[in-house]
Amino acid sequence: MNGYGGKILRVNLSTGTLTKESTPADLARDFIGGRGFGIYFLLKEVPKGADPLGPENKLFISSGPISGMLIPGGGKCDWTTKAPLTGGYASASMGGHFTAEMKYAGLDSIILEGISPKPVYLFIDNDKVELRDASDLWGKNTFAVEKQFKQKLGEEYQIAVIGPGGENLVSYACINHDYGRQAGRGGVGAVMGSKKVKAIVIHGTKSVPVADVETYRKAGQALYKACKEAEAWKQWTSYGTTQVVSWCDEVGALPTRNFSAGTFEGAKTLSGPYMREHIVITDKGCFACPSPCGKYSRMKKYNSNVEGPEYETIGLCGSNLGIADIESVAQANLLCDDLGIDTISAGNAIGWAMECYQKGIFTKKDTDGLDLKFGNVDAVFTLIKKIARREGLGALLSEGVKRASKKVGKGSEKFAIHVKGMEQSGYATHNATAMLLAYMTCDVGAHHNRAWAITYDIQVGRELVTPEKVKRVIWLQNFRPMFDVIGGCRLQWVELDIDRDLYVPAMEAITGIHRTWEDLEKVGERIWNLTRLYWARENEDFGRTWDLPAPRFYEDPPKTGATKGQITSLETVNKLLDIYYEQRGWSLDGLPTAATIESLGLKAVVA
Amino acid sequence: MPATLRLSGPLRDFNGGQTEVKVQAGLTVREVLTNLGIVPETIAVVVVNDEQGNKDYVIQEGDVVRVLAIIGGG
Repeated sequence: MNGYGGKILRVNLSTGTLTKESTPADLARDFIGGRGFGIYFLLKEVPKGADPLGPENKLFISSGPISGMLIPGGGKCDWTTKAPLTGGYASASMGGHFTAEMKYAGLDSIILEGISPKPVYLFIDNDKVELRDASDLWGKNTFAVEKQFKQKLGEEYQIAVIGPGGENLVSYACINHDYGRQAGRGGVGAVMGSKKVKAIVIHGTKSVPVADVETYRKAGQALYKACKEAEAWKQWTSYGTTQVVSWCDEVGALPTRNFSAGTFEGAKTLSGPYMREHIVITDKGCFACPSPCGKYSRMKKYNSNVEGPEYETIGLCGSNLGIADIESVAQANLLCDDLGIDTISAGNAIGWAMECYQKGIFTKKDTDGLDLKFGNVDAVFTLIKKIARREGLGALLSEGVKRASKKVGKGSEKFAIHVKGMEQSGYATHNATAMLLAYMTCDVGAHHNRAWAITYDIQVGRELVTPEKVKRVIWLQNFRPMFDVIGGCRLQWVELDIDRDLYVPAMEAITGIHRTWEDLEKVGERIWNLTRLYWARENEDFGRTWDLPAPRFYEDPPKTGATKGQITSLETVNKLLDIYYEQRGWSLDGLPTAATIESLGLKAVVA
Repeated sequence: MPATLRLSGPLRDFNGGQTEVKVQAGLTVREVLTNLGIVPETIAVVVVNDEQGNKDYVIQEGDVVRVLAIIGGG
C-alpha cells in the first residue's frame, strides 16, 4: 500500500504475544493514519467503561502517510488512548524521529494491550520484535534510559520512554523521546506505565512504497523551497514558539498566577529574544524539518541543559507561577521532562496549589511545609519531584486539578483551570471568545492545538459572538488536526504560512490517492464527531456542562493588565455553545444527532 | 526614498494579496498598520532592517519593516 509501512504490530503484554496484521486498505482510505487510526481503534477495541489504567485499555501509536517521508514536518506520530486524566479521549502528538523509524520498520501502528507481569521494553529492529526485561531500568529517569540505549545500540535507534511519573501513574505523565520531545497530554505516559512498558526502542531500514517517485520528489522540493523562502522563516527558526511570549503579554493572554490575569510584570525576561540571548545554545529540529523550532538551552545557574523551554512551558511554569527567571523555568522544564510529566498540566496544577495557599485554603500543614507562594522557585522544583513520586501534596496534584479541587473543595473548584479535566494550556481567555470556545470544545480537554483562534479574536473583535466566529473555530478544528492524521507537523503551515495546497500533490504522489484539503477536512469532521461520541459513550452524564470553561473566565475578571476588568459572561458562554452545537449538527446538549452521524457515514463505526 | 512594509501570511489580504507595500516615513508602525485596516494588536513581531523593532517605531526613509502576525500558535 503506497505511503504506508503496511503492518500493524499488536503487542499483548499479558501473554507476551507479538503479532502483525496487514494495515486494512479501507482503514487507510477512510481514516488515513495518525489520530484517524487512533480513534477508530479506540472505539472498536477498547470496551466501554474500561479502566484507563487497567488491562482493557490500549495504547495506539500511529504514523501517517507523510511520516518518515521527505516532506517538511514528516516527523509526527499520534498516541491515542483512553485518558487517565479525563476519562475521555486522549490523543498526543509527538515529534522527533520515532515515527520515521516506525515507517522504516514497516509499521503503521503499534498497539499495546494488556498488562505485563514485569517491567519490559519493546525492542523493534525491522522484523525482529521482542519484549525484553526492563527491571534494571524501572525507576530511572528518562534521559538516563535514553542515553543508555543510545550508547548500547547506536544513535540510529529511536527511543520513547517513560519516567517515574509514568511508572507511578501520574494522571498527566508523558512519554519522552529524543531527550526533548514528548507525547505530552492526557496521561499517555501513565497508560504505558500501567502496562509496565518502560520504553519502546525502534529502528528500521525498509523502503516505503511510493506511487509516483518523481512527482513526490518535485512536490517535496517545492514544499522545502516555500519554507526556506517564507517571510517568517528567520524569525521562526530564531525563536520558535517563544516568539509569542511578549505578544501574549501585550494582549492579556499570558497565563499569570493561575490565570488570574493575562499580563505579567516579568514577561520581558521570559521573552523569546531574552531567552535566545541569555540561555539558548543551539537549535534543534525534528525529522525532515526545514525550520527547526526547538531550542537547546544552557542553565549556568544549575549547571544543566535542556531542550526548551517552549512557549507553553514558559507560560505555565513561568508566569503562571509568578516566576520571571528564564533559567529557573528551563530547569523546571528539565525536571518535568526527566521525570516524565507534562509541563502544562504540572505548571497549571502547581499554580492552582499556589492560589490555594495564597487564599489560606492550604497552610504549611497541607503543603508538606513548603512556603508555596507565587514565585518560590525552590518550592516549584520540590513539588515537581513530589508529583512524579506521588508524595504528600504531590500525590493530590498528580490527579489533576479537577479531581484535586473536588477533594479539597472550599471554593477551589472555581479557580481550577481546566475543561473536561484537562488543565488549560498557555492562553488566558478572559476576553477572547473564539479562543475560549476552542478550549471549551477541544476534543481532549483544554488544549490549544486543535483551533488556535486568538489572533482572529483580536482582528474581528474579542467580545464578538457571531456565527462567523464559531464557523472559524469549527473550520480550524476540522482542518488543523489533519496534520496529526497525515503524520506531519502543522507548524510549517501555521507559522511559515506555507500554501497548504502544496501538500496535495505530495500526498497524492506518495499514496496514489487524490485528496483535496476539502476532502481532508471532511475526514477531520468525521474524526471530530467520533471523538465526541467516544466521550459520550464513556461518560453517562456527558453533555453541555462538560464544555463549560473554568468559572474564572466568566466570573472573575483580571485586576491588572491588558484584560483588566474584562470577562466573558456565562450567558455569552452558553450562546457560543448554542451556535457551535447548531453548526456542528449536534443536540442542544452537545451530542451528535442521528442525522449528523448518518450524514457523515459514521453509523457503522459507532454501531 | 519611501520605506517598505512587508506583510506575511493572511496580513497580505489587507494589501490586495501583495507582500510589499510602500509606506510614508514619519509614521509609526502602529499608524501604518491601522491605515491598512490591520488591528495592531494582532501583530506579534516587528522587524526593522533585520533588527527587532516595535509598533511604536517611527519609520525612516529606506527602512524595510517586516510585521508578522501569529496565525496559529503552538
